[in-house]
Amino acid sequence: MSTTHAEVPQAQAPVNPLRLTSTQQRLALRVAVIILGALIVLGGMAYNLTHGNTDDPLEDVITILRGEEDSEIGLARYIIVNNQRYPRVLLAGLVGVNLAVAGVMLQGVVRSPMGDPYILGVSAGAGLTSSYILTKYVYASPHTVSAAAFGGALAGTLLVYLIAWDGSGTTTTRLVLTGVALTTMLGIMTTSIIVMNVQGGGQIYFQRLVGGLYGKNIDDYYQLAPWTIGGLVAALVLARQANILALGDDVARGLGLHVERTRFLMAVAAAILAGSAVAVVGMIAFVGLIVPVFVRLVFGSDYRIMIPANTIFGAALVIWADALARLHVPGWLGEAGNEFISVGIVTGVIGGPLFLWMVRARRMQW
Amino acid sequence: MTNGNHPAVSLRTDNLTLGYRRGVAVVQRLVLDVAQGEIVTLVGPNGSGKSTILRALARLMRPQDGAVYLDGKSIHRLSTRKVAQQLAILPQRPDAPDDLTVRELVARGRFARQSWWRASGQEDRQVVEWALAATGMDALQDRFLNTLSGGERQRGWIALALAQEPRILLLDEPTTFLDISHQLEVMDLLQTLNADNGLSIVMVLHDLNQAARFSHRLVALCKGDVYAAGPPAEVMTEDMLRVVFQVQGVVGRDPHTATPTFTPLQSVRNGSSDRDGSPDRTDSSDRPGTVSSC
Repeated sequence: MSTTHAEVPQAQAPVNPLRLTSTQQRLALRVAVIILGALIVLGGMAYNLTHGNTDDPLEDVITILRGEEDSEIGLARYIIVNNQRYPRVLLAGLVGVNLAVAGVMLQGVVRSPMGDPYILGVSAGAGLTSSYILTKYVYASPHTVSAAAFGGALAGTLLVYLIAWDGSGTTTTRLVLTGVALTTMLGIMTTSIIVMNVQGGGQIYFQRLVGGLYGKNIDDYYQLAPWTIGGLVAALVLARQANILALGDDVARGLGLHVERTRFLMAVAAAILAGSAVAVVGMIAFVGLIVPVFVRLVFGSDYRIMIPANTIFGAALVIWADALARLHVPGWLGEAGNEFISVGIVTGVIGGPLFLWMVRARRMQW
Repeated sequence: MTNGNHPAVSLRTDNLTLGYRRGVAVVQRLVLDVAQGEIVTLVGPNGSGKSTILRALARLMRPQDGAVYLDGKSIHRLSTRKVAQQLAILPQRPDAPDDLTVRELVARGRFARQSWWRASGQEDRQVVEWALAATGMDALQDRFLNTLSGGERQRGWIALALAQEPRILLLDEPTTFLDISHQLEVMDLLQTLNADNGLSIVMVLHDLNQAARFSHRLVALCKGDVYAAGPPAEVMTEDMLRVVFQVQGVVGRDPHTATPTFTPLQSVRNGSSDRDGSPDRTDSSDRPGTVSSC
């Protein structure tokens, strides 16, 4: 975003990084990338459905998913595909949608590309409340856990906002520092709560600190899906207002926008999406950073386009991250425990360097 | 579209008291009246409260006391959408995302006249086209904002404000960051919009000669108070400039536009005319050549 109207030489203006000269070219590129994204999602689903401890041919998987009998395919394959791989890949897609769209909305709220739920401590808020309910009230219904996570995410968002924002705005540095402090603080509290409430076998809860899809089933998918739909609808309804807000508070007010109300509702949408994802799979890092940064580069800053594009590429990222996470861990890395690594580790390994590059290349402000 | 057959809309303040902290008023009990079709320019030195007043007129800040009345109704009681259909503001340094084209920007000016279930329609398109044409931006409508010159970009922002179809346009230093030819371009545009469409304009300008040339009325502000208000010829006096701006100069008459002009000669700010550099300023107001401010 330009900050000066003064005489900036035109060649230096950081405009239009892909150097598209016309709106037609821009449209053509966007359509092509959307189609590519859809293909990446489908390819990722096919890969995850066919690969695992034992690989299955795609025809077999299709037969199984259609519910057709085939005596050549063993019963075990039916169970693995139907009960493990299928729900897991659907859940991966939803989690990607949630975290990416939550990132877009939060970035609009704080007016910074660093508005990722993980970086800002929003995920940590959801992690704390959902872990408390999960470990303290073992028989709580899944939706209670999700609601608690939503509450934690919203509280985290408001906390960041209150601390880092003064009358006129904030800086990315202040936001990120606030997020670091909140994440650390809430993470320690989450760990303490797990330690205080779980006697033995706490690993399953500690995995939530990194975020993973191991052992997830169709119930987890149904726990998340309504929140995804609700959050997405909220985000899309708010897209027009978000576009106005992107012109700055003063211009937006002048155009007739309720600035504070819009910002709050966008934060609620982000909390619905991020909180519900954390409730089910734990804190997966940086999805809300990686995907929106890429989408903004190709699709521009119109929320009516950014939100759908983020659903596609969010799903693509987490599905493929899960494909990588399901690879066997090489022996030199570690012999003990789970032979699978976690999705959150994969996104962390991709997102961390991106984050550092953005800091280094001064891409922390639009 | 916006061509005179709209009812007149007035903007008025009553005992307006503004400030950023409780108990510290920047502007006190201001009374200001803008009639339909007028160009009113607020002038004054830094810190005189010009921009603060403009922000309050645009309901961007809440008064500590008193009120701004749009057509007789308190602007803070009206819905912000309704206000946006009557009144538009262009803040000092507006900022938009890099990838927006001029047309996309201008189309957002229709926000207050659209709703979620009734997005952009035929009428919106016509108004956007009118706003682009009125500002001479139709040829540049598909350009990205950051590829434009400062003057073009400013015209684009004015087009955004026009797309609101306002009756009153508020502008905060619309020419400050532009070179002289772009400044004239913007001022000519504002004058044309005022003459052709009866658009009322209230703005803050730093350039006194521009203010005198393009305004029907000047309001000279000093420390949040109106020092003088009226036609440029009445307000632009050597006394006013000495007291309000602390500048000694000569007021003349532009031979081409017949508007008053001002040639500054010397600052008479307390201390600044001390040629001997004396640190003793206790009795500076008694010295010849220095003035106590208003």
